Amino acid sequence: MMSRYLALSIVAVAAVVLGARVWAERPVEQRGGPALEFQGYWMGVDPVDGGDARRSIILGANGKYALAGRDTVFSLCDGTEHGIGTFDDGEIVARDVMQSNNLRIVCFNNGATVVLHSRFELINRDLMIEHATRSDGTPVSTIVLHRVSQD
Amino acid sequence: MEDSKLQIDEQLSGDVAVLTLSGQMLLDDGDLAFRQQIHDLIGRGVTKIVVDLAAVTYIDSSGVGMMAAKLMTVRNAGGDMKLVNLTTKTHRLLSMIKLLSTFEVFEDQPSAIRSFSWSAGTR
Repeated sequence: MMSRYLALSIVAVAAVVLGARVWAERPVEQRGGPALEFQGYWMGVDPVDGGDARRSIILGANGKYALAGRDTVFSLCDGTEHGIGTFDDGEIVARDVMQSNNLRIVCFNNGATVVLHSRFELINRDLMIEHATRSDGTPVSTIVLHRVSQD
Repeated sequence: MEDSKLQIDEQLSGDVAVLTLSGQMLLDDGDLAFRQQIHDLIGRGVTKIVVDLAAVTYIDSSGVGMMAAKLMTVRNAGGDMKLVNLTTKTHRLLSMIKLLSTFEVFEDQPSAIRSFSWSAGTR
């Protein structure tokens, strides 16, 4: 009876320890909280020019977010879609807020480049708002983005 | 900014500046010219501004953002910026993003210029 009780105790303790280790080894972003929520593929529409906005956001091994984005209307690129917006230094600056001061928009057709500030505010898991501004804070665009990708 | 897609003509009517814009107000182009013009006016002590948009053919997100930002700049300087001659497209755009209620909008330049005297008289 005693040995059976001892064996059950050992199994129970082992299960708790093993469970705790598995939990501890899971990446932080998979346990919930704001950090994971920005990663994904997002789409929205610029309310001013009707352009289709797409954003691919991933969390890098260095803990910074990287973005690649395209719009169907880049006014900087003479209204074409021949351009791309990127950054790789996005950081969480507040709960549900991620931002980069280095959103670089580059046109393929005319070589024009501009660097903007971008700020992403999560409303819920599937909805966020992108604010782009100049370095002096002058607003450039505000776009509501909807999550397209699924885990 | 010689090659800007936005041309700005300035006329003074008393202490009111009338800016007649033509062309496009775009990111890193017309929006910067517009900002510079507003800052120049404020630097000269002119804070009553009428912006005529009849000949503006296109405004993008940054152009709208710049107009809203400069409206606040002018109001913070004790003045106001009023819009006239909105095209159907510009009117629809400002309405859609709920900025029509932020700006005072007039049908023509004389009405907008006169409105500054009414404001001064009622203060």
